[in-house]
Formats: sequence, C-alpha cells, structure tokens
Amino acid sequence: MTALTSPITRLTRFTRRPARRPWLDHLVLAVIGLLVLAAIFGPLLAPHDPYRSDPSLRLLGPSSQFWLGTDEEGRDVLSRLLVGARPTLLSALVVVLVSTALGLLVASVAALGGRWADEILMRTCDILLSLPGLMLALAVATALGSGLTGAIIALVVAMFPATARLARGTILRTLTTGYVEAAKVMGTSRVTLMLRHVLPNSLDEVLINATLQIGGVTLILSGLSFIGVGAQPPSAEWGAMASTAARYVTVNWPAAILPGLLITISVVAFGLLGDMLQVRRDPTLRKGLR
Amino acid sequence: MSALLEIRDLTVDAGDVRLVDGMNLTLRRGEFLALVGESGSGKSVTARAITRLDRRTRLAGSIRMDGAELLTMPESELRAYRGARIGMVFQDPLSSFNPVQPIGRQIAEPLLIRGVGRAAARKKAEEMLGEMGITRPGERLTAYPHELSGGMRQRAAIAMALIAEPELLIADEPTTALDVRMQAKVLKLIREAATARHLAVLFITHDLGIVAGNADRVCVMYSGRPVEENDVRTLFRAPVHPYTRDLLAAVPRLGRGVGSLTAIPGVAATPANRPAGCAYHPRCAVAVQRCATQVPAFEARAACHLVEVPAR
Repeated sequence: MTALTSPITRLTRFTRRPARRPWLDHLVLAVIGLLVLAAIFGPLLAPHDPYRSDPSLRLLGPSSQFWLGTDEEGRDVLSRLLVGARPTLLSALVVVLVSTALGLLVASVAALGGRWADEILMRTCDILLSLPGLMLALAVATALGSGLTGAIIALVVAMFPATARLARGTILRTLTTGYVEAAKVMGTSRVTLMLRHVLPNSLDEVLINATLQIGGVTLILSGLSFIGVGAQPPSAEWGAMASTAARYVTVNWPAAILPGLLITISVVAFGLLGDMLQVRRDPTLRKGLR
Repeated sequence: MSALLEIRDLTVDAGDVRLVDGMNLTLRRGEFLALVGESGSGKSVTARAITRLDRRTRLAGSIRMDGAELLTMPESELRAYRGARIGMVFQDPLSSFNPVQPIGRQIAEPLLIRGVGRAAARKKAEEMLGEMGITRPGERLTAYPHELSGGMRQRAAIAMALIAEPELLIADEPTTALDVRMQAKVLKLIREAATARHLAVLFITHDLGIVAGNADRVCVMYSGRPVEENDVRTLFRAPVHPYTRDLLAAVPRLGRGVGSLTAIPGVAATPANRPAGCAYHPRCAVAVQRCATQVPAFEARAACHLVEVPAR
C-alpha cells in the first residue's frame, strides 16, 4: 500500500527538498478551495444539464455555448466536470475517513487488547498488506459487482491495514508517556485512558497520513472507474469520463484530457497539503527546506 | 502502629533479568520512608510493582496493603486502589500531564472517574492547588501543562496524586528534575500534606541530603536487594553495612576543601550482571572470602556477613 502515500513526499524525502515558498502554500490552498467549492456547488454552477445527450452536438470543440466543448454523446464537458467533482472527491474522502476510522479502531483494540488480540489483528493486517493494494481493491470491487459503492468498500479494505499499522505505532508510543502512566495510576479505566489520553495525542500523524491519502485514493478510484470497475459510464465521475472519452481523443481532446488533468491536479494538491501539515506539525523539518 | 504496606520477598523479573531480588519492606501509617539507592538498584521498580504499572515484568512474592494482597488481585479490583488509596508522583513533571487537556480536568480525574460531580471535583481541585501554594488556583485550572513552570507542574502532579485522599503516597524521585530551591519547596509540601493527612509516604531518591532532613526511616537498596534499613538518625550516625558507610562517606561536605570528594571504587552492579554472593563484594573494602559465594541474609538491620557474625 505504500503506493498510496504521496508520491511527492516519497520523492522529496530522499532528494534535497526545494525551498518551500509561501506562494506555493497559498496556491495549494486556493486549488483545494476551488475543488471543494466545485464539489459542493458544482450542480448549481453547471451551465447545462450534464446528462442530457444530443447526437447532433457530438464532439464539438470549445465554443461560446460549450466553453470546453462536448463529449461523444453531445453532453457539455464543463458541466460534467463541475458535477463530477462531487462523486470523485467525495468518494475519495469517504474512503479515507472510513479507512482511517477503521484503522484507528483496529489499532486501539490491538494496543489495549493484550497479546492475542494484537497478534491476530496485526497479522491479519500484514496479510492484507502483503497483497498489492490495487490487486486487492480490484478483486474486492469485482466480487462486489461494479459500481462506485463497491469500489469504495474495496479501497477501504485495501487501505485500512496501513493506517492500522501506523496508528498502532503511535498509540504504543503514546502509551509509554508519563501522563498515560499518571492517568493509569489514578485508576482510569482502559477505555477512558484510550479515548481521553492516548488517541488525542496519537492523532496528528494519522490525520496527516489521511490527508496525503486523499490524493492517492482519488487517483485509484478514478483508475478503477477508468477500467470499468468503479463508477459506471453515464455518471459524471472524472475517471469514467476520461475512460469513455479516451477513444475520441484525436477528434476532440478536451473531453478526454481535462478529466485526467483535474485528477492530476487534485492528487498533487492534496499531496502538497499533506506535506504542509507535516511541516506545520514538526517545524524542525523546515530547516531541511532551506 | 499497624503496617499499611508490607512487601515480602518481592522479586521482579524482566525477561531473564531479575531486577528486584528479594525485597522486604514495611511501611506504617503516617510514616515517611525513604528508599535510597543508585540508578538501577531497583527502587523505582519496587515502587512500580506496588501498583503493578509495568505489564511486561513478572512479579512474585507478596505485597499487602491493609492485609489485601495486591500482587494477585484482579486488575479491576486493583483499579479501586490506584488513585483512591495509593497516589503516585513521578520524576518528570513535564510529561506527567496530557498536553492537550487543561490541568484542572486532569487533577480532578481521580474524583471524576469515581463519580464525584463536576462542580465538586473542580472545587476540590482548586483547593488542592491552593494547598500546594499555587497562587490564583481557580485561574490555573484552565491552564494547559505547557503554560506552567516545572515546579508548578510538579506541585499540580502532587495535587492530582492526593486529591482522592489516598493513604499511601509513592513519590518516585519527585524532586530530581527540579532546581534546588523548588526541591526544598516541593519536599516541604509533601511533608506537610503527609502530616496533615496521616499519610504514609514511600519516597524514592538517590539524594541523601533530602533523606536526612525529611525521612523517618531509610531503606538502602543495592542491586535489587535491601542492604540496610533503620530510622534515619541511627542510619546516618552508625551505618553498619559497608555500602551505606561508603555512600555516606561519598557525600560532599562544605569546609572540607578542594579534592575532598571521595568515590566508591568500581561500578554499580547491574541487574543483568549481578555478582554472586553479596552483590557489593567486588567494591567492598572489607569483604572476606565467603562474601563472594554466599548471599548474606537480612538480619535485624542489614544484609552483611560481617554484621551478622558479631550479632551471634
């Protein structure tokens, strides 16, 4: 599942980090802001009905009526892109939220439940981790039948073990701190100890990881839709859009290229956001940036 | 005077290393007992065994509080002892508080988890902070740990340990991380709080100066075993175990001039490499042959072959 961590972090970890400039942070925040706005207000902003096809308007280039042209069924590309932000980004968000929550739960039970619970849960995670993430997601998605819901469940299954491993590590580290010990000798029960003292102090790494994952998940979900396992053709999901329009790329390129471009922009933006949060949390990293 | 805490033949193992090897200790109500020893002598391990803090160590022997066996008690019953009957203060005041919670909430925690109402718990927390000499305690309740100085945090930690009115306070080197002035202040607070509550204190330290001025009784540990125990005056005036003597001789004194620092030769025995016989014999100036083979029994006041012989 390492493929799901931000490609940007992995690259820069081993190379000299470029100086981070404030304008980059602002740009990242602006791009993410726009993506979020599109996801929320997309259907209201769309100038045309994204699902109304008109054979007489197939594959038109950009014009004053269709700013980004039309696709192979004569639907407005701009409208479909705006409407598509919601299923694309929201489903990625759902995957990350659910897999993070599940990972935290598994890690908490493993850390507190004693040796056997720990062994069973962590070895299960290891088994899931040893399967290539995309393969596992594909297998689960196929078994569940195609559709976005199936793809979301598949990705949660593929992703939570990595989060559980990470969270278990930070939880175990937090468990050895003085205040957890102090709370323990005060007679605090194990569940309270976990909820009040351990989890709040173990969250930041997991949350940064989750932010980094949003980009990767967007990419994989779109990938699944592209190869036909995720969102199905009529729906305006970016991966599915790129998939159907790809055949006509030589005739009318915007319909095929733009969804892919938006996916790329989202992935990079969320990756950079994760990096930003990481530097915020650990200011010593800033030294390496100069 | 009845014994509040009785430790008998306690052994603590971590893996195949025996950290504590046959510890005996009796603590009466209202008594201030100092547990003294070098790093690695097993004094903290002994203290942590009382509340069974380290899940990874194996404990054997007996630790009784008011007659109830703590070592074999189910975890759920032991929880009723932690905080309510046994309070504990640790060495590092920086890490004793959760950084993301106001200290008032944490000081009140022992009361809150036992069903005391919020308002009452808050009031008691404020009282405790006031007793610990913290000015404007009501305002401090909402402060976060990083907003307090080390000394304040340690006093807040004592307030937390005492808020549920325990009968026993275990203080594991509570003054080590503080500057000298704050050490004196914190010690005085513990002393006063103990007297006011008729509280038994198990005070762990390596600082003999602190022991001399505050403790009623002293137990000296070396390499996981008790080597000498007595009331504080007798121990300082007439130590019998060679280790205690060497330790007292190594205390620097004013007016003795430069170059008067003495040290015990050799290095402290580690639990993993404990010498056979009396663990102190390789460093002992008066050791005889059987010190290297026989573990001396603890008789009367000390565990040393050379003490028990004339006693017979």
